[in-house]
Amino acid sequence: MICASCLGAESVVISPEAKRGRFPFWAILQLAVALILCWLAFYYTSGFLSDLPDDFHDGTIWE
Amino acid sequence: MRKSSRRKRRSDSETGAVQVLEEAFHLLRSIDLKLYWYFYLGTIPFVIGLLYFTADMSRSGLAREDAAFIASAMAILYCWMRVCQARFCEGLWNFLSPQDEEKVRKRIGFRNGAALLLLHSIQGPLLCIGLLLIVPLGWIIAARENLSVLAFRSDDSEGALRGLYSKSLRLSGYQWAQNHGILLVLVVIALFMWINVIGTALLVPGFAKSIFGIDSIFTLSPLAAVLNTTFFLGSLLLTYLVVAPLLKAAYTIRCFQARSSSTGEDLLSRLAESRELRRRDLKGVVLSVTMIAFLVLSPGEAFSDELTDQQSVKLGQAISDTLEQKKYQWQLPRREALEENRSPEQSWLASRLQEIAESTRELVNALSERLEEWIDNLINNQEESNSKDKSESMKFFREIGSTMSLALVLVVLGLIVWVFVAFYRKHRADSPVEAEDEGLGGVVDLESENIIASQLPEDEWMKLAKEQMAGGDWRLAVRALFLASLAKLGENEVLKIARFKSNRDYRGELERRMRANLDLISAFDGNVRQFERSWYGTHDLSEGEVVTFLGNHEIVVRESKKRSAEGIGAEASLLRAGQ
Repeated sequence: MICASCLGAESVVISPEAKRGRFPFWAILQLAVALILCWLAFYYTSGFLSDLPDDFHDGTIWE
Repeated sequence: MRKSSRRKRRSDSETGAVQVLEEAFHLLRSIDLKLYWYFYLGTIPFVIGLLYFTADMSRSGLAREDAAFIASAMAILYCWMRVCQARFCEGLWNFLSPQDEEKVRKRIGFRNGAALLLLHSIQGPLLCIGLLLIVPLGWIIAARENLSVLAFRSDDSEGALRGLYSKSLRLSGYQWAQNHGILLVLVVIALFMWINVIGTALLVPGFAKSIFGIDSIFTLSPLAAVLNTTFFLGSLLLTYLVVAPLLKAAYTIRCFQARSSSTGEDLLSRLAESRELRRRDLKGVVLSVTMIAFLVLSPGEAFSDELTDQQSVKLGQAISDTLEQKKYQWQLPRREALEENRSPEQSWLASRLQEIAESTRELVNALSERLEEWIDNLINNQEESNSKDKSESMKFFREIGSTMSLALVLVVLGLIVWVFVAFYRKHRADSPVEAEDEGLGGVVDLESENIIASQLPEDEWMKLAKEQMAGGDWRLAVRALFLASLAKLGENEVLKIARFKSNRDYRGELERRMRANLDLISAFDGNVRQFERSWYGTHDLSEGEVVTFLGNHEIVVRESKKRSAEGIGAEASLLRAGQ
C-alpha cells in the first residue's frame, strides 16, 4: 500500500494524450535506426550469398 | 513430499502446451477473415521479396551492384511485415477480449510501431546467438513473438520502447515449460508441413505429366529441381506462411493468459464472447472474393500491357532489351560481369545507396584488416617470446584469428556479461530493503515507506512526534505516534511487529490476545482509523484530532503495561509453583 503523498508524486506523469501532441522525435529516430539496421543486415546477407560458390546454390556440391 | 505437492500444484495451475495450441487452432478458425488480410498483406510481399532477393544475390552476375538497392527494399518489406503481423496479433487479442478493444484503439500510434521495429531489428543477431547457444533460444523466440503481440497494446506510461521491451521480456519467462512445449510441437508441425510442401511440389507435376502430358523440371530431373537453395528456401517460406499464424495465435493466447492471471480478463471476455458472435457478419467473405478476383484478373492485364510494349519496338532492340532484363542476368558469369565495370543507368536514390554501401564496405574491410594485423602481430610476438611447448596453445588463437570468429566470440562474451549484469540488477532490485530495519537510533525519515515500528523504541518515536507537532506537521506527527504505539505494544509483547503485517493484521492479533481489554482495543481502533485517513487518504488533520490521537496512544501505553505486568506476574507464579 502506498501513502497518499507518494501516490500523488507518482501520479504526476505526463499523460499519453499529452505525449501524443508532441513531435515524435524519438519515434522517428527509432524508426530510422530500425531501417538502417535492417538494411545493414540484408546488405551483408547479400554479400554472404554472392560469396557462396555457384555449385552450392545449384546443389552440385552435394552430388 | 512438500516439493512434489508444490510441483503438482504448479502443474495444476499451468496450462499445457497442447491445450494452448488447441485454443490457438480454435482462435484461428473463429476470427474474422479480415485479420488474415492483415497478416498475408504484410507477409506475402516479404516472402516473395526474400525469395527474389536470395535467388538474385545467389545467381545474378550483377549481385554486388544491385545489393544496396534490393537490401533497402527488403528492409522496408521486413518492417511492413512486422507492422502487419502486429496488427494481426492485435486483432486476435481483440477477439479474445472484445471489451478491451475500445480502450486500446486510441493508444495505437506511430511511437508503438517505431519501438516495435527497432526491437525487431535487433532481434536478428539475438536469434543467431540463440541458435548458436541453443539453451536461451526458447526465451528469445518467446520475447520476439511477444513483441508483435504487445506492440499495439502497451500504453505510453513508461515509454513505448521501454514498456514494450520490458513487458515482452517479462512475459517470455511466463510458464517456460509451456513455452518450450509449444515450440517443440510447432517444430514437429512445421516439419510435417515442409515434407508435405515438398511432396506436393513433386507429385503435382507428376500428375500433370501422366494426365495432361506436361513436362516440367520436376519430371525431367527431380533431383536437380529439388537440390538447390531456391527450392529449399521457397518450400521453407511456404511452410512459414502456413505455420506462422498458428505461432502468432499461440503467443497471443500465452500473453493473454499471463495478463489475465492478474486482471481476470479471460473471464470478462467469456462473458463478452456471446455478444461478439452475434455481431459478426459476412464482410470477410466479400473481401476474400475481391482478393480472388484481383488475383485472377491482374496477370492478364499485365501480360497484355507487356505484349503491346513489345509490339511497339523493333525486333533487334527487343532482343537486346530482353537480354538486359534481370531474369537473364544469372546466365552471365559473375566475376566477368563485375570486371566489365559497366555503369548501368541508376536512379539518384540507387546511386546514393550504392555509394553508402561502398563506403561502409570499405570501412568494415579496413577495420577488419587492422584487426587481423593486430592479432597477427600479437600472435607473432607471443610466439617469439614463448618457448616451443606453448606453440600448441597459440594454435587455438590462430584458428580463431579471423575477424568474424573473433567478433562472434566478443558478441557472445558481451551478451553473457550483459545477462549477468541484468540478473544482478534484478536481484538487487527484488531484494527487500532490510538495512533500515537494523538502524536503531539512526536518522529516520518519517516520509519513507520502508520504516518499521521496531526500528526505534517508543520514546524515540515520541520524540520525533513531538518535533513534528512543534513544526505543525500533523500528518507526520500522527505517523510517529502510531509507530510509537506499535513499538510499545511490541516491547510489551502484546504484538509481534513484522514488516509484512498490515494494520488489519495488528488489529486481529490485538483482538485475539487482548479480547477482554476493550479500552485498549477501542483506543487502538480509533488511532488506526485516524492514521489511515490522514496517511493513505487526503484527510487534513486538526490539532484537536492529534490531541485525541495522543490520548488514545496513552491508553494503549497504559493498558499494554498492565498486560506486561500481568505476564511477568504469571511467569513468576509459575516459577514459584515449579519450585
